[in-house]
Parts: sequence; C-alpha cells; structure tokens
Amino acid sequence: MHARVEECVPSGLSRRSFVSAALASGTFGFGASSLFSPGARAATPARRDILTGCHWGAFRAQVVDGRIVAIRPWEKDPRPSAQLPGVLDSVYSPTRIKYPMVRRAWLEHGPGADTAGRGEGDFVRVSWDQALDLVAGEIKRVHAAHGPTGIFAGSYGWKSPGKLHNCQSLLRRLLSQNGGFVNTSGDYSTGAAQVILPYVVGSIEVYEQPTAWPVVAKSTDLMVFWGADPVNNNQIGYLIADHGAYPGLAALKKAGKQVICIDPVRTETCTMLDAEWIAPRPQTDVAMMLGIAHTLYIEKLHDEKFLAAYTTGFDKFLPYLLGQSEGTPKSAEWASQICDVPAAKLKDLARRFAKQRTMLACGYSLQRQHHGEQAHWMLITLASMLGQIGLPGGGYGLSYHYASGGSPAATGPVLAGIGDGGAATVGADWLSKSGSSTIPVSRVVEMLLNPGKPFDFNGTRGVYPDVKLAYWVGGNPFAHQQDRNQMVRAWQKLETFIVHDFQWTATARRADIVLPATTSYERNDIEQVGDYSFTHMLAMKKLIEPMFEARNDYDIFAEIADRLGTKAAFTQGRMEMDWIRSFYEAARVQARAKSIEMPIFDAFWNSDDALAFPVEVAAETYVSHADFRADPLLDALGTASGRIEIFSSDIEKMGYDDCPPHPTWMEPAERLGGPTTRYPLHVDTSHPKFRLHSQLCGTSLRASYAVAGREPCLMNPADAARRRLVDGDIVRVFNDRGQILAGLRISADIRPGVVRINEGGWFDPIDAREPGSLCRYGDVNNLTLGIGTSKLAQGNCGHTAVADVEKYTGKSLPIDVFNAPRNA
Amino acid sequence: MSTSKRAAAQEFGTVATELLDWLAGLLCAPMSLRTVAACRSSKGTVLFNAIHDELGEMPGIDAMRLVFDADESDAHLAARLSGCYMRLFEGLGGLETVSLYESSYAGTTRRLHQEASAAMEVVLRRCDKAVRAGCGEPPDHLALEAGLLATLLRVGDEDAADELRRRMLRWVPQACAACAGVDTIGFYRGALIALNDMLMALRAASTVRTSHARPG
Repeated sequence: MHARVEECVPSGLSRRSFVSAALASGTFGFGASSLFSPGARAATPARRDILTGCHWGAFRAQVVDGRIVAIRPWEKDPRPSAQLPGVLDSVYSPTRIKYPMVRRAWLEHGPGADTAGRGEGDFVRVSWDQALDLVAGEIKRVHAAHGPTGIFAGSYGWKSPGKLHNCQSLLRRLLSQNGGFVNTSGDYSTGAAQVILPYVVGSIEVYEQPTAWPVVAKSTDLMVFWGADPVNNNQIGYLIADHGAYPGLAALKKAGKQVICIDPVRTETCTMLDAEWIAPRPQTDVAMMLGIAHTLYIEKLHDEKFLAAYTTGFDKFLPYLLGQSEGTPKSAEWASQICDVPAAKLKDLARRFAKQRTMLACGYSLQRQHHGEQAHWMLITLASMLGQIGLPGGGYGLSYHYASGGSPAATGPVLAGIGDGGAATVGADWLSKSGSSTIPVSRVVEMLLNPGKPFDFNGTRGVYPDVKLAYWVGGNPFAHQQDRNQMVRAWQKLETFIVHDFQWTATARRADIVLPATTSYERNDIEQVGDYSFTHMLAMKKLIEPMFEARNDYDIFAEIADRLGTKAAFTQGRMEMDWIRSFYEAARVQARAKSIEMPIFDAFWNSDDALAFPVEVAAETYVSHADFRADPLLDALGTASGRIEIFSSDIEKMGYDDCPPHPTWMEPAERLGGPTTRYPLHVDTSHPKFRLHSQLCGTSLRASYAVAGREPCLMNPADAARRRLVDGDIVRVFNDRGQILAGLRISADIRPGVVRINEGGWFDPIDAREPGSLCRYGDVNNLTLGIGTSKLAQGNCGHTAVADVEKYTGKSLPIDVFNAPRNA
Repeated sequence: MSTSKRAAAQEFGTVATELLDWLAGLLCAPMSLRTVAACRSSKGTVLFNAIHDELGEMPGIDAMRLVFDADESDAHLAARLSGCYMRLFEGLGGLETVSLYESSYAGTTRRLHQEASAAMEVVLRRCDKAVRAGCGEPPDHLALEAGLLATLLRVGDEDAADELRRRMLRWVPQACAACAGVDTIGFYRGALIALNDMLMALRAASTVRTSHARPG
C-alpha cells in the first residue's frame, strides 16, 4: 500500500513546500538551472574571416559570435571542390560525438565482454578522467599480459591535414614510448603497385611527380586515362588540395588533344574532355595491354633501341608474349576474348600509341584487385615498348588522378611534422616505419582471425600476431576494409577497441571506448598546399572553440602519456603553438638553404593569406625520367640493374605462384565473364563525387546523390531491363559474402555487365550482431573480396567483386546510421 | 490538466517552477542508478503523488511513472533508460534521433549550434549568466533553455521569462512530437510532454496576469 502524502510530509511543511524542496534537493535528479554560473561570458568578436584549409582545399570561414556561419573557397583555388560545403555540415553535424563513451557491457564486465554486441549503440557517458584512466589501464594491462604485439595501432585512414594534430602519428608516438605496438605497411590506395614498382623502376613511383601538366598540354598528342578519373579524384588532397591539375586538364582540352578514357564507366574526365570511351571488362586490363603489346611487336612498332638501352628482361618476357613459353600467343584476338574490346580496336590502339606522342596515365584502380601487381608492371612494359619514357609528353604517369600530380612543384621547404617514433618516408607520413612488428595494412582481418599463422609478403615470411586491443584514430575501417561480414566476425576477437573520432561513424559505433576528438577547425595547426606542388604554407588557424567535450588528439594522448609516466617524452614540454612554431622554424632553415627567406613566424601566423613559394620554369617544364633517359648510367634507376626491369630476378627468387617474374595475365578469383565466376555483374567500387571515401557521408551533401535515401547503384539499361528494374527502385545487391540495399540509377554511362556503387557509404546493418545482416544504406564493402592481391604485395582487392541485383520487395527499412534530426 | 485545477495552475508557482527545472535536468544526461532508485522508492512515490495533488493530471508525468513502475530491478531499468536516452538524443539513433537543440528546428539551416545558439548567448548575457564551465552543451539545448526559464521564474523576472517561454514554444512542440514518434519505452516522451505542458501552463498564467494588468 502506498503511503499517503499527508502521512509522509514532515510536519510544519506544506505539501507545496515539500514538493519544491524535494525536487530541488537533487535526490531525484538535478535541476538544469544548476548548469548556469553567475556572470556573463564576454562577447566574442562580432565577425571574423579566417583562412584555413582541409583535404578539399583552402577556404575562408566567416565566424560570427563564435560560430562558423559560412565558408567560401580560397580566392586562389583554381577549381574549388564541390565537396567543400560539406565541411560546415560535418562541424555542426548531429553525428558529432559529444562526450567520452564506454560500451556498457565493456564497462560493467570488462575487456572481452559481449564482443558480438559491438555496434548496437549501448554506450554509457563517462567523464574524461574515467575514460582516460580506462584507456591507460588497458594499454598497461595488454602490454603486461601480451607484450607489444598485443596492441594494434595501424590505425589507417585519411584523418585531417595538419603537421601537429596528425592523430595517427600521435598514437604511434604514444605507443612507441610506451611498450610498442603492431603497425602496418603500405596503404589501401596503392598497396600492390608500391610494392612491385621498386623492383620495376626502383622506387614506389605512385606518389612521385609525373611529367608536369604544361608539358603534357603542349607535347602529348594522345592522352590515355587508364582506370583514372582526374576530374573527379583531384578534388581532394592528402595535404591541403591545390587543385593544380585542373588548369592542366583545361589546357589539354583547349589544345584539342586526343584523349582516350579506358574505364567501365564514362567518367567525369571522359565527359569533360569529350574523350573516346573504351569500356573493357573490369579486371582485364593486363590482358588488354598484352594484346596491344603483341600487336606492337608483331607489326614492329616497338622501340627496340629503347628496350635495349633502358630496360632488362624483355627477352625473357617475349616468349610469354608470343606464346612460345606456354602455347598461347597474347594476341589482340586472345586479349579481345578476355577484355571484350574488339581485336581491331586493340590493334588500332597499338598503332596510334606508337605513331603519336602518347602519355599513359594509369589510375590506382587497376592494381586494387586480385593480381593487382601485374597492372602497373605491364603498363610500364607497354610504355617501354613504345619507347617514349623520358620524352616530353610521352611515357607514363601514375598520379595524374591523385592530389593533382603533375601540378608544377614550387621551390621551397617541406614541412616536417610530429614524430611517431619511427623513420618516416618524406612526404608520406602514413608510410612511417614505427612499431614492434608490422603487417600489410589490408591484412588486419586475416590477422585477427588467424593469430600465429605465417604469411608471405614481399620476399619475407611473417607471423600474424595475437592482437588483443586495437586503437583507431582518424580512420573508419568499417568503411575502407573489404569483406565487411568477415570483418564483423574478426572484430569480435578483440578484447578492447578504442576509437577517437568526431563523428559516430560505423567504426565508432563498434568501439568499446569512444573519445570525442576535435575537428581541425577547432584547433591550430600548420600544413602545406599541394601534395606534389607545395606551392604554399598555410596557418591552419582555429576557427571556433571545441564543440561539446571534444578534445584535441594531442591533448588526449598527452593525458594518457601522463598516466603512463611518459608525458615529458611525449610533449617535450611543448604546447600546441610551440610545436607549430618549431615546424615552421625548421622549414625556414631549409628555405634559407635554397636562398628563400621566409618571414618570421608571427608575421606568417598573423597574415591573412597563405605563404607562397615560387614555381620555377624548370618545374613547369619537368619531364619525368628525362634524366634517366639522358644518362641511364649516371641517373640509373634504383633497381638491381639500374634499368626498367621487365623481368625481375628478385621476384623470380621468391618463387611465388601468384606473382611470376614478369608481367603476366592471371585470372582473378572472380570477374565479369570469368571461367568460374558465379555472379553475373561486376561491382565497380570507384571513388564518389561528393565524399572523400566515407568522410562527408553524414552531411547534407548526401541529398545531392542518394537515391531513395541510399547509396546509388548505377546500372546499364540492358541489365536493368533484364531484371525489370526502373530508375529509383530500391535494389538488393548480393553475393556469397554479403548483401546491401542501394538506390538504382539507370544510365548508359556504364557498360553492360557492370554496376557501380561508390566506396565510402556508411555501414548500417539491420542486426549489428549478425554477420551477413542486410546493410540498409549501401556499404559496398559488404560485397568485396578480402584476400591479398598476391603473396608479393598483399594489397587489397577493393575492385574484385561480382554480385547480382534484384528489386527489394521486403518491408520498409529506415536507415539508422545517420543522425539527422527527424525535422531535417 | 483538469479544468478544476487549471485555475490553480494559472498561478505558476514554485512547485511548477521546480518541476520544470527537474524535467529539464532529466533531458541533460541519462539518469544515474541512484536517481532512478530514488524515483522508484516510497519517497519518490510520495513526491509524485504530491505533484499530482498540487498540479492535477499531467499525462506526461503519468507516462514517466508508468515506466518507473515497471517490474524490473532499479539497475535494469536504469540501464534501459540510459540506452534509450543515447538512442534518442545522442546521435546513435540515426534518422530517428530527436534533436534537443533549438537550432535543429529554427533558423535557415538544420545544423546544430546556429542562430538560435547565438541568440541564447545574448539572452544569457542579459541575464548575467553563463553556461557553467564543464557543461559542453550550447545554450540552445532544451535543458538549458528550460533551466534558464526556471531561474528567471524564481527571481521573478516575468518579462524575460515570457520572452523565453514564447521562444521555446516555437520549437519544443516539434521536439515533443518527434520524440513521441520514436520513444518506444515512453519515459522521455512523457518528460517532453510534461515539459511542453508546463510551457503551455506558463503561457496561460501569463495571459491571466496580463489581462489582470489591463486598465479597467
């Protein structure tokens, strides 16, 4: 029986007073008025315009009353990205992670508790102190119990630009100073190419400057974009994008040069340049190149002198090309059967390539597939047969599509950044060599599923460590990793998963401990403009105070270091601006050695513009490999022979059955029209137009491309008609590995037999516990193959996927992964 | 509220003010186990009965009490309510997330921390108040707007309270409706209904006060 009010109210107290006092006591919860303190906060300056930068370029932010109200591209940006408006959305997104969070099961029952429940979103808000204590405690526990190989900190991802708040370097710095960790080698962009190319041309080359765009526009007669879409992909840069490729593309168009785009999709580049579109079956590029090479040889169009002077091994490759070694000539007819481009066209290409100054611009997509090592090798072999390498406008270029490769490089310093405890590769901090042990970056799932298993890699044999804790910052592996459902299974093996991010990405949802990080607009930093050009140095000034309880990664890691007893080593006694100043000062010393005087730091920092460095004539007339061509002895390549190696003795010694010692066509595990392939459609997973991978997926930009609220699936009209599908249908795309929903867009801009679903869509399973659960939004990596490209590079196979498509007729499934208010 | 009690509620007194403040506090963060246990104790029952006697029927409070009466342990209920709060308000609920920020319902965009937030900063300066250090929320959070309203009522600043109440009634009903559509447990739906009802009662009280103040 409930007590009556009159019996319970203390005597002398009215009912009204009792209620008021009880509510105000805090016993039943605190009143919100306690969240105010007396004394008004000082008003912020009314309006400021501040220059800063991001992956999408430099921009000016209008800040009013401490809020960013508008952004506009930097006036010196030759071609601002269509993605830039999404930046403002991401800062003020309802997907912001506001407070430190711990997954309830982990908090209540400890590491390893209910790991299948990751992704269900049952988090408990905790204080920063508690969160940091938990993180430090876990690092200590795992190190003590399992040693340095118990912690995985490969933490791959595109994070944000900036030399200090490089969250991945900061993570590795912390762990390098506190017991070590498992790192990764390589990347998802060029995983196969960057391993094989040192054997072929003596360097990884994929991130090196190709022949400058002004030279191409002037001297190239025939520009071939092979699996490359520079108009789309040059929107972004790993540093601050300079968009320097766009004037080059415009010049190419203005000059009326012939352009061919080889791609299963009529790309933005193809449209802009009014190019000839050739659409082979995906993953058959090596066969296609072999068919062209065969024609060159048979019709004596190849450059024997070049091959003799600048390459080795052509004589060992030739029997394969001619079919003398295994009975199958790699003729245009043979190639045509595989790539579905008519033999006459392949022969025509060979003749045109040979007759004209031809630039073969190869995209990274060709090597992001099973046996991907072969693509760049064969392309360089083809270019060698053409004999134009090192000539103005001729040869090959591997980065015209990436971060404006070919944009003339300025003369100036290269900014260093915060050290991570390892030996960094200049200009490619993500290829740093820190860590107690290393795995190829895309083998993380295999590692978790197979601890102790040996693996081959680049002539070595390693053993997968037994990782217990993964720490991820600045990345979204539940977007970029292949074979999502295998990944869901693998992730259950971890005892603890820690994530820093500013948004509730699919990865953050799967964490045990989530720490809210600031965006680069809530902190100060310094960076360069132009991944290849380095035309400017930019003060990335803080625009607004950190949102909610977000903290800078630097401060978060410094606090953890403090708990581990290594704060002094981690911070070296420096605050944020001390570090930034030190990077600038080091650059000033470099610049002085090049007879360039940079202003003092305060003048740089307080300037309203970026600091420009001169672009010399030599940069605008730069021709890749010209020095090598001029003197192959003095400017020998870094290969064993000093020349281009069409046959590699080093690779031969490895004896890998899936990576022969010369370029070879090998059937991928599955492909359109493949002999053992079970599904009828290839899934093209190219880069999206309005995202940088998964970044900006949770913004209003999505409204410009989503179909029925989902990731678009582009399909040829014939394939759609066969399935009785119409534009705008919600479709289920499926294979043995997984299933997703997508919104159908029918277009003749994609060849029959191929559908395109861009990578980077956010993973949204109906049942987070269940591998194989239908993804409601359209994360295409539910469908891709998770094996390595070969034993040589163990690169990722993000473009190896076949599937089928059908109309979705199940019950309506609202998308759960984006945190947009219902009224938005 | 019943007609018979409406007259009494028109005089928006200290009970209503404290209730408003308490409801606002519930929306600022998930309830702790201690709070849930207190609300479910006999003292909590007495308190809610007293609220009922003071203010009459309040469907929102009744909905909350129904949840408190659930046949489960305090710990289990606290966990369930915490998970519910996260899904509803903290961004983990996807498109079913209910925004508790005025910026999401007003202004020229739906982003957080927009004009409404700036406007509330001005209101706070006028009241010589600031959001306490350590509270990471912008001032257009429902809990903060309601908490400030309670503060203004306590000190008798009727004009400022009226202005803030009018401001809140431009968007809180939408937040209320949004929550009603997706809160399957019903607790926070009830809290928002109760808070919205308090705003309506405050409006009614203001109308009565104004009409009494008119010259004869």
